[in-house]
Amino acid sequence: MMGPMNDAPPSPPGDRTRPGDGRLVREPDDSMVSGVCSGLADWLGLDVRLVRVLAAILVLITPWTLLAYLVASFAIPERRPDEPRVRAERVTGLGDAHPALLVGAVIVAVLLFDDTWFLHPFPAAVALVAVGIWLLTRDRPPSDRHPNAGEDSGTTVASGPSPTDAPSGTGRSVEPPPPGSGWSPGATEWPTEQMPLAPEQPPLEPFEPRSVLGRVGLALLLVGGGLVWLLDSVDLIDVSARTAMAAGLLGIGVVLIVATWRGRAAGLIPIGFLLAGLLVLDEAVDVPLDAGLGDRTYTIDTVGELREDYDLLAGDMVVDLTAAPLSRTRTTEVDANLGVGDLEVRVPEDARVTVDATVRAGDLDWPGPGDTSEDGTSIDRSITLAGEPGGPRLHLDLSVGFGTLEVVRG
Amino acid sequence: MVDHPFDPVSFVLGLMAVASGLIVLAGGNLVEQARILLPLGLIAFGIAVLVRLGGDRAG
Repeated sequence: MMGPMNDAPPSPPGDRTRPGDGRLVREPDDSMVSGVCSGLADWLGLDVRLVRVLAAILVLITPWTLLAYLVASFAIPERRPDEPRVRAERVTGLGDAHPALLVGAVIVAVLLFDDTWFLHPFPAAVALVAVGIWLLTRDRPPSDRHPNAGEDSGTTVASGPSPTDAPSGTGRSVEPPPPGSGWSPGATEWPTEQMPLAPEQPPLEPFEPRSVLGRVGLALLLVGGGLVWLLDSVDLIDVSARTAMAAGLLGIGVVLIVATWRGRAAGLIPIGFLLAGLLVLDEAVDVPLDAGLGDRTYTIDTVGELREDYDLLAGDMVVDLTAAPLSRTRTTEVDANLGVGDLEVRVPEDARVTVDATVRAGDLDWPGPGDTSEDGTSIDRSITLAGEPGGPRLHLDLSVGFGTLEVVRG
Repeated sequence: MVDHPFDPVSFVLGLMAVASGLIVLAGGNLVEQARILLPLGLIAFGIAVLVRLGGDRAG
């Protein structure tokens, strides 16, 4: 799987773009696996070693990184052999960084420092708004201009060399004429009979400037989403994540319809698919989208620690009730819902337990004699676990979207 | 922004996104509506791709 790492040739000075403005490709000449890290480093203006170290750390933290890498290997095209390698200008400060880099940093922070102050709604929402405003207000990069663009007309007509001017828009100096060409220093015009013919040049392709529609749409999405989140977090409005995502999807649809005739916004299409996928996931797993990510273990030792609901969007969750002070006169109700992952609920040995279990797709296991497991899709089962006379009574309402649900004794 | 010829892919995906957003905002369920929305979207998307391919060849 590992390929040799070559020293890629340095890109020519003209082949540099601002971070995130070039074409994102996998870099075949500097690849360790499939060139995703190298391509990202070129695109974002980062040192490839830094990107690889970050990727390795993320792999150690979560296996989702491997899945993301695999998807990127298929989704990002490889640089063609005839395509020059383009490296973005090196990022030297936060102001130069592409929003993707900032979003990536937030994701890394989420994984590394879950539940810290800067992940609370207020700073996170402010960050979204800030990135959106930055997208709206930043200067358009020079790479948006056509390489053959003149200063005023947008295109340059091929012509013979002028003795007085450098080629328009290139900033290069004129090479001295070859001996015997008929040109004399100090002259302002070519002798008519010796004027060199204009070299054959390929016809210029029609120049279509890059559209700002997609970037403006993304910026408005970020600013709008951030403001809604902000107002919701200070209890000025009450908007669910589902409603906010639906509104975002609606906005993306409107921008795409505008792009049917004016401008381009293809970059919003994957974001639209992502939002639609999250909305479907929200319907499929019965878990609020803001229920959290990661692994959770709840060990209940006191009455105060016992909650009625335990929700997690994705990860592994353990609810340990073995030492919980459960009532012996009335039934204790506990709900646990997990979107994606493994849910394990441990119940006391002497408790009489009734379980209503739902698994959209995956496995269900419970203690008892005989066949006490089931796998497949749309599993919906009621289970009764006999307890000792006078033991505590417990009713569990458990659901897992995709993964494993296991009830164990002790 | 520059005017350009009709882009059927943007149009179809835009319509699907608007429809999906409105369904959810109206309290509907995307999974339930997917029985209608997905086949319609796939048909429309396929036609859109064919239209664009035809346009590219003609152009």
